[in-house]
Amino acid sequence: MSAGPDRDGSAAAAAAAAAAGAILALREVSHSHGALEVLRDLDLGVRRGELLVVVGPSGCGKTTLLSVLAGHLRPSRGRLERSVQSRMIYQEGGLLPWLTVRENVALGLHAADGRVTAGGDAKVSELIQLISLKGFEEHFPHQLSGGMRQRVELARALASEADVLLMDEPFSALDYQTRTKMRRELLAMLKARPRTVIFVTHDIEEAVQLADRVVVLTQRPARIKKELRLDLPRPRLPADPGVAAAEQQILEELDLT
Amino acid sequence: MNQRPIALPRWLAWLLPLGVAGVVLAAWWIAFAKGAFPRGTVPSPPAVWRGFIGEIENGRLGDDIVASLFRVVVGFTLAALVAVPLGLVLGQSRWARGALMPAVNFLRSLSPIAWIPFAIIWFGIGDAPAIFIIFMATAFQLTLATSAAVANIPRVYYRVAADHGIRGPHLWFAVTLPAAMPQLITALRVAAGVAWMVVVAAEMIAVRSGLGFLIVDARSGLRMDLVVVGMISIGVIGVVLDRVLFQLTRIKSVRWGYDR
Repeated sequence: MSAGPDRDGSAAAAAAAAAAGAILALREVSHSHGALEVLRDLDLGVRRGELLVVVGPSGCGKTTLLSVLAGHLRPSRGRLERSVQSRMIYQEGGLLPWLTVRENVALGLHAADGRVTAGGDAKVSELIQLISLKGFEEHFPHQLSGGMRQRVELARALASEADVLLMDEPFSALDYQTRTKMRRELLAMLKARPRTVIFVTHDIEEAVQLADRVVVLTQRPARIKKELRLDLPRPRLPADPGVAAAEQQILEELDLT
Repeated sequence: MNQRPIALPRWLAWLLPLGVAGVVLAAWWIAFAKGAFPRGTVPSPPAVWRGFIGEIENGRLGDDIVASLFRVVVGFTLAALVAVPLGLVLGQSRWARGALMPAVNFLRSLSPIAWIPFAIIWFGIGDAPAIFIIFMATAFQLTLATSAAVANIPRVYYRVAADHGIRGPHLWFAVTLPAAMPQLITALRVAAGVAWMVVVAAEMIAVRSGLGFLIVDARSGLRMDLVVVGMISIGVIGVVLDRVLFQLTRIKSVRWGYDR
């Protein structure tokens, strides 16, 4: 892996430095949809085991960023460096509705390149246990609540060997209480099955609850405006002064104060 | 979790429509007895009953039902075999849609009755022209419905498939077909209903058997009781056909298309 050439922008330079030793990184990535410039000069990397949260104004290009990271979208300029497999977890409706919970989770054993993770049925059953959906194996997604569906999505991603989970506002379609609960469950699941996570959200509270590091993006075309390392102990309660201060700082970066 | 309105108890679901039929029958009978219809315009319920018994005993009703069902099954199956694959392709390809959709819409708008002259010239009299007319009446709307079902499949299913290494021809069976299936089943039910209606019209002109022929033949003999026998048979069989195809919607892996 080679670091990008030195440049003046301090945020970009810091990001590039942080990206050294990254298992998944963007190097000077810019992207345009036709005439619409969506991403500009992004240098961003994630280290093994890290939970990186990307926040930004709505419509700033967060989903485009994830598509580039997933390898679904070739950026107009710059490049994607990755030494690992990644898995995408979609906002909602990413489960195939004609497959049961068990079949959806079992789909996760199959990688994009056609490789199949060992473990089969036993692994699937174990994961269904992990997401507390034992007894729902033969249910179909439309018979589950929104929170249960997102847990199945998580289990499907965890069924793979993929080191990196890319999560595109995975809890944004859920109600407040379910969302709060799902954050805790995500952290618990990552404890049981450690993974590197890039988590995109517009929810600042969510960002601070989850992140080891927060990257704040600007309005479109998205650039990195600010990086925040969060070393706060978990669980992070909303009333903790450190948590409140971090949220305040992100709000300021987003010009929302 | 989805909440569905609580369905009627099974016995009531049978009893209610039978009750409605009883009321209609009683009204018809009373009106007839009171002389509400001019002579010869409406047959009496007992005359229709006798007509039923007679047609069953002489074997004509059974033969006519079999003849009509045969034409519908063949015509409809041929239409589905052509239309579903064609619709799957049209739904996937903007080019194919752009090129062929106007033609499909043109043919779909053409009343099947308009094909009768050609049907007779090309196929003569018998099963073939009726099957041809059923084909023309159902194939194009089925193509359109299939292609719409495919075009509306959320893109995310294909991304998920790609994430899990499903690509190429596997996509047809792993994503496209199952994702379109609920709408496809609905389209098949509608098309089967159309086929059943069209066979009656086709048999009035191009054939000398079947329930449609039963009706025109009875009219020539001024046997309005037999006309009603034909009408009741057509209606009842139409309902039964739809119930049969309705069973497809009970397949577990398509319930998602109807329950939400």
